[in-house]
Amino acid sequence: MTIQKNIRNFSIIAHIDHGKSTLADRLLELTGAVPQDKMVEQILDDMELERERGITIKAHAVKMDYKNPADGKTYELNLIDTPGHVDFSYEVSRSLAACEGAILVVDASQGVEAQTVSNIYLALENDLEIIPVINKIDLPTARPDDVAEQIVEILGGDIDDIIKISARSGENVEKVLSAIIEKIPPPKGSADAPLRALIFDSFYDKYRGVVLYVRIVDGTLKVGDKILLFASNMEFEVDELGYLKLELERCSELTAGEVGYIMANIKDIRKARVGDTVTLSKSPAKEPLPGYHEAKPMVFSGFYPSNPDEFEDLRSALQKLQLNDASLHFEPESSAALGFGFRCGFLGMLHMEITQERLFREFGLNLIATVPNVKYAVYLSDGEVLWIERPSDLPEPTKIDHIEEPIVSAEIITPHEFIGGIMELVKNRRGEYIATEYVDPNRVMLKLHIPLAEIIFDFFDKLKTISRGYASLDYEFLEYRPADLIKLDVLVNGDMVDALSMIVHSEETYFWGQKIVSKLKELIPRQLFEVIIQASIGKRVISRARIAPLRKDVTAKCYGGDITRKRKLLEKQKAGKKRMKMVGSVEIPQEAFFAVLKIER
Amino acid sequence: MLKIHLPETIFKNFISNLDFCIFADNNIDMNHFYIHIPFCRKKCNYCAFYSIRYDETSAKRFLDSLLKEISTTGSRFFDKSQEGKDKLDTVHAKTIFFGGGTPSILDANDISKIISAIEKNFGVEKFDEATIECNPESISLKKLLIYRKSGINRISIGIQSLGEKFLKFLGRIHTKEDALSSLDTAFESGFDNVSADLIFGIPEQTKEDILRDIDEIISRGVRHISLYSLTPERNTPLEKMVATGRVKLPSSDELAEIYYAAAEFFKKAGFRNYEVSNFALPEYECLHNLAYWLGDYYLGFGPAAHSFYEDKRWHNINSLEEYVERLTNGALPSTDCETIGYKEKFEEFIMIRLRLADGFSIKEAAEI
Ligand SMILES: Nc1nc2c(ncn2[C@@H]2O[C@H](COP(=O)(O)OP(=O)(O)OP(=O)(O)O)[C@@H](O)[C@H]2O)c(=O)[nH]1
Ligand code: SF4
Ligand SMILES: [Mg+2]
Repeated sequence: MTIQKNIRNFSIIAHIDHGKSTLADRLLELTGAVPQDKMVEQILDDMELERERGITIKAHAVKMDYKNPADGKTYELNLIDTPGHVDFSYEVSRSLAACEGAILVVDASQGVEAQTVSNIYLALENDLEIIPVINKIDLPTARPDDVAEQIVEILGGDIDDIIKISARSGENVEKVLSAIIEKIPPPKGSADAPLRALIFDSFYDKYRGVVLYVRIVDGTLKVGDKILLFASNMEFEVDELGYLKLELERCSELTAGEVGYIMANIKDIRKARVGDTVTLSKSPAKEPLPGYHEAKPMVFSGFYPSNPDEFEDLRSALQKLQLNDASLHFEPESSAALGFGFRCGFLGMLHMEITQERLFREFGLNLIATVPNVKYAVYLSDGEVLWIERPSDLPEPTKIDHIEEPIVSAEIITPHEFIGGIMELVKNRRGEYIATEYVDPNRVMLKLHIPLAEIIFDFFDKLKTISRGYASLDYEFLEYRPADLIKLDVLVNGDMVDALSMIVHSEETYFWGQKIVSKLKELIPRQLFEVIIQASIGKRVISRARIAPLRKDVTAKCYGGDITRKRKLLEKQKAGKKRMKMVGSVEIPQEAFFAVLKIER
Repeated sequence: MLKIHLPETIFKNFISNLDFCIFADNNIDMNHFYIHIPFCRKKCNYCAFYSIRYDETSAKRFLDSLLKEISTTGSRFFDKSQEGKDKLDTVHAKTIFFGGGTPSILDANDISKIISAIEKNFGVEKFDEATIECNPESISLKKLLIYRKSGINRISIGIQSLGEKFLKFLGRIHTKEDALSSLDTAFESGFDNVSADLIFGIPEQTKEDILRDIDEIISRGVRHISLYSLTPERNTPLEKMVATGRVKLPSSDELAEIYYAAAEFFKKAGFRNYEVSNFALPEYECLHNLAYWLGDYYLGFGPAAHSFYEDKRWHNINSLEEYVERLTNGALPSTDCETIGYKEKFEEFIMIRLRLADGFSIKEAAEI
C-alpha cells in the first residue's frame, strides 16, 4: 500500500499509431517494471490479434513503482494504455474515468489528427490534467515546432510545457515521468469512507471466474470482505486482491486511489458489469459512482455459427467476450437461410471484424456474418415506431409512414489540396457540409453531417486513397433524420434469402440491385441445375442473373484400383460443402453473405 | 475357391509391422490381380503414377522381388485343399491386368513368368481376361506373340493422341506414326481385343481433333477406348505449369462440349459408354476395371499397387527401393491399410456405381 499522495493514475491517449504503446514500453522500462531482457515492442499489446495487426484493441492497465530521483520518494504509477482507433473510443472514455491525468501523444510528423482532437475533448470532459507530448522527434520528417503550435491552438497552455520525445529511442522520456509526478494530482478519495470502487474492466478466467479490474475511489478493501455489486445487487466474498503488474500480483488490501483486481468467485458473467460500483455489504456506500453511459452500438450484423450445433457455444463465447468488451451487444435471432444466431451490435466495422476474429481464435467458432447495417427508426402509419436492426424485419411499404436513419457528425482533418476530392466523396455519400476550420496553415478540419450507413463500409478506405493517406476521420452519433429508404430483397431460385436483404436509398436501388446480383453470380458455384438470382423491391424484380448448370466433372484415370483416393477427394469436396448454406436446394457459400461489402462504388 | 479370413488383430499388427499374415480359412474370393510395372522410358508431363526410368538392373531386381511377393502372399492366402467352393456372387470372371508404368518395356518372357507365378500361387487355371498396357514405342510383333502364348488376350495401348503437337505437350515419346503402327501390329499378331487410351482437354485441342483421332482408331478395329480428361495431378510438371499460369487448361464447359461430342460419336459407332470414361463395343468391356467399379476384391502386386479384400483397402509402398528391401527381408511391402466401415462403403458404392451406365438400384444400395 502506498500513501495516497504518492499515487498517480493516468491514461495515454492519441490518434492511432502515434506511439502510445511504445511510450508505455519506455515507461515500463524506466521504472523497472519490465526487466530489459523481457522487453518486446508494445509489450502491453498482449492479445495475439493486437500483435499481428500492430494496433491496440483493448485498454491495458499496469502498475509501476517508481523511485523519483527528485525527491527520493517511491510513487505508485498506474498507467492505462488505450487504443487509438475510432471504434474503440469507448475503451478510452472508460479508462479516463479511472484516472486523474492523461498523456496526450502527438506524432511529430503527422501532427494533430482527428482522434487527437476527439481524445482531447474526452479528457477535458473528465476533468483530467493533460500532459501534451510530441513523439517520434527522431523521424526525419518530424516538425515538432509546427505540431507544438497546433496543440496549443486546440489545448491552450504554454508551448514550452510540451515535452518532445522519441518513444523509440527513449529520448526525453524521463521528463514525461517527472511531469506525471509533478502535474497530475494524486487521487482525492478517502480511505475511511464507505467503499466505492469502479469496475473499469473485467475478464473471465476458466478457474477463478470473473476477474474485476477496479479503481478504488473511496474506502479500503481487504481479502475476505463481503462485497456488494450495486447494479446487480449481488453479494460475493473476496478471495483474492492484487495489483495489475504485467502479471497479476497479489496483495492483502487495496485502498482509495489505487488500481487493482478482485477475484470473488463470480461465476455468473451477467452479474459483473463494467461501469458498476463495488461496495462493502456490511457498510455500503449510499450512492454508486456515476459509472459509464452505455456504449451504443452503431452497426449490426447477424452472427451465425457455420455449424448449427454451436449455437449455445456461440452464446457463451459472446457472453465471455462481452465481459471484457462492454460495448459488444447481442441478442438471439433466427434466419430462414442461416438458422439460429445472434444479432450483434458493434461500435464500428473494425470492432465487428475483431470480434469475429476473436470468436474464431479464442473459442474456435466459425461464423457466417451477415452484411452490417445501421439501426433504423421506422414510423408506421398508425403512429407506432419500430427500431429495426435487420433489414428483413422492415414492414410492408404500405404500413410505413416514413423511415429515419442515424446521422453522424464527422470531422475530417486533411491537407487542403485534397478538399475537392473529399467533398466529391462526401456528396456521393449523401453528406452535408457544415464548416471548415484551419488546424494550421496547410491543414483544415472539415465538419460534416453524413448518414452513418454511408460511412461504415468503405468510406475510410476511399478517404485514405483520395488523400494519399493524409486525411483522418472521426465521427460521433448526431441524430436521426428522415430519408427515402427502400428494402431490396434477393431471391435465389424464387426463395427469398432473408440474410441478404438490405435497406438502400431509393435513388440507388438499381445500382445495388445490379451489383449484388452480379456479385452473387460470381460467388455461387455452379450447381447441377440452373440457378436464377433476382433482386427485387417488393414484388418487382429489378435485376436478374442466371448461373448455368454444371455439365461435367472430371473423368480422370482411376489409379489401378485406388478407390480410397477417389473417396478422399469426394470427402474433401463434401467438407468444402460444410461451408455452404442450403437455400432451397441451392448451395450458397459463406462469402456470399457479405458479398455486398466487396462491391465497388 | 478359398475364402480368407483376416482377424482384426492381425490387421492391426499388419499396420504396425507393415507386414501381414493371413490365415487360410475356408474359401478364397480372389479373382482379380493387378501387376504394377513401375518403369517408363521417360516420365510424361501429366503423370502421377508411380514409375521410374527403366534400366535392366532395376528391372531384374524388381522381377525377383515381384515373384517373391506373389509366392509369399500366395502361400499365406491360399490353401489348395480348400479348392472348389462357391464363388462370390458378383464375381463372374477372373482377370489379370498389367498396368504401369509401361509394362511393355519389360522382356516379354518376364510377363509369362509373372502370369505363371500368379496361376501357380493362386490356383488359377485360366484368366477370362488378361490385359497388358503397352506403349507404342516399346511394342513389337515379337513381344506381342509371346504375350499371346502366355495367355494375354487383351492389349491396351497408350496412344493418348494422334496429334504430334499434343503428344509433345504431354511429353510422350512416341509419334502418331508409332501409335498407328502399334495398333496394326497388335491386330497382326492375332489380338482382337485391343483398347486405346486417349486424352482430351489438352490446351488448343479441338473437338474436331478428338473426333478425328477416335475415328481413325476405331476404323483400325479398336473395340474399346478409354477417354480421360487431362488433369493436373499433384507434383507433376503439368500442375506446376498450370499453377504458374504458363498453361491454361480448358474450362469445364469446354471439356463438357468435347466430351458430349465424343460420346455422341461413339454412340453412332455402336460403342456403349458403359463407364464415364470408357467406351466399348458390346462384349468388349474391360472386366478388370468393372471389377473395381462393382466392388469385387482384387490383389495388387508391385510397388504402389492397390488391393481390396473384405473391409480392407491397402497398397504397396511407392518406392522400388523399399519394395525390394522389404521383400529381401522376408516382409511384405504393404502399407496404409484402411478399414472400410459402413459409411465409407456406402459412399464408395454410390461414388463408383454412378460411374457406370448401369448405375444401381435403390434396393442394392439398401442392402449394403
Ligand atoms: N521513429 C519512431 N517510431 C515510433 C516512435 N514511437 C512509436 N513508433 C512507431 O510507430 C508505430 C506505432 O506505435 P504504437 O506504439 O503501436 O502506436 P499506438 O499509438 O499504440 O497505436 P494504437 O494503439 O494502434 O492506436 C510503431 O511502428 C512504432 O514502432 C518513435 O518515437 N519514433
Ligand atoms: S507412360 Fe504412362 S506411366 Fe509412364 S510416365 Fe507416361 S503416363 Fe506415366
Ligand atoms: Mg497501442
